[in-house]
Amino acid sequence: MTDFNTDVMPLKSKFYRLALRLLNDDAEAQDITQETLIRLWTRCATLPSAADAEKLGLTITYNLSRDALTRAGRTHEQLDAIDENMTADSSQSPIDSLAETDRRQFLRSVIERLPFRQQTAVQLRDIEGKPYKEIADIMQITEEQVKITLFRARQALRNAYKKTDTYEL
Amino acid sequence: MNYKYIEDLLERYFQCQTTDAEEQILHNFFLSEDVPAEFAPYADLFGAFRAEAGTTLPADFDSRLSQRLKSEQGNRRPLRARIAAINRSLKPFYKAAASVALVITVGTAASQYWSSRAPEPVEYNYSNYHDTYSDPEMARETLTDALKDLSDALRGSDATLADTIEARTIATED
Repeated sequence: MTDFNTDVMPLKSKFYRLALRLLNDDAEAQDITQETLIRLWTRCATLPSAADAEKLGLTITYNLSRDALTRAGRTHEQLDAIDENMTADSSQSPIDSLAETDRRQFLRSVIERLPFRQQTAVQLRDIEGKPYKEIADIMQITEEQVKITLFRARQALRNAYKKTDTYEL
Repeated sequence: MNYKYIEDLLERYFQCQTTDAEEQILHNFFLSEDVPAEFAPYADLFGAFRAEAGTTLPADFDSRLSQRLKSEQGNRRPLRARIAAINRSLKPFYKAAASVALVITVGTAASQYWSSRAPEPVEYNYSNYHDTYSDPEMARETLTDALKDLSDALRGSDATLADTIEARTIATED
């Protein structure tokens, strides 16, 4: 059994970060975070541990974000199949000397152009540091599919950062 | 530090072949101050990963959430049995009673209206008259009686008139 205030509330920013990553809209991300927390609040008594609450919360956030994007007119095909060969924005300044905010801005601009699932995989693996098994559960796909998705995302990241690297030289 | 090892880890990282522990080593390495220039872009990548993990909700989020939770709590209050007031418990029958009352009122008014209608007007057109007696003997008798009554009445009124004239004549003679 989990307690809402001590076990669930500390996770709120994690849900918010995922929603914000996927929706790119602060107000909408906050709405989804709130909805996620309310759903967890009603189910608190049935969750064995805080880890379960976290996994369920991330799953709810993921599903709500996907639904919101689908409602906004982006189909699942589009969500999964946009530009595989995306490249970094060459107008970006060399990242060697980038300030903290610029560094974040650059990463965001790269992730932003990834398909929905790849964004989720990067957010959960590289930013939140989740194990593959958990990511697979949250995204409701197999671990193998998570790895394939993440592989594509990391290739895109590598290309983007390599480009800025050569651009610099 | 053996940079060949880091290079190898990075390569495997981009191939998604690193374990959780190995990725942790990479994260820690790029956090350190003295990252060689050749790794600078990846230091930026991992630095940005870490910075992105620090994004938090705005301060007013909690108060809005607790407001919403309060309203949810209100919606989910458990149902309890209550002793209902007599007019509340009779409420379902109000409509039935009202419709019965309406039917009675309209019915009464309608029957009053039909029964109090004005009598048939007198018919002056003889051609519209119909026979009222099927037996000619009886009709003749009734007619004779009626004429006799009329005759008596006329004679009576004549007598009264004659009396009046006579009385006036006497009075003027006086």
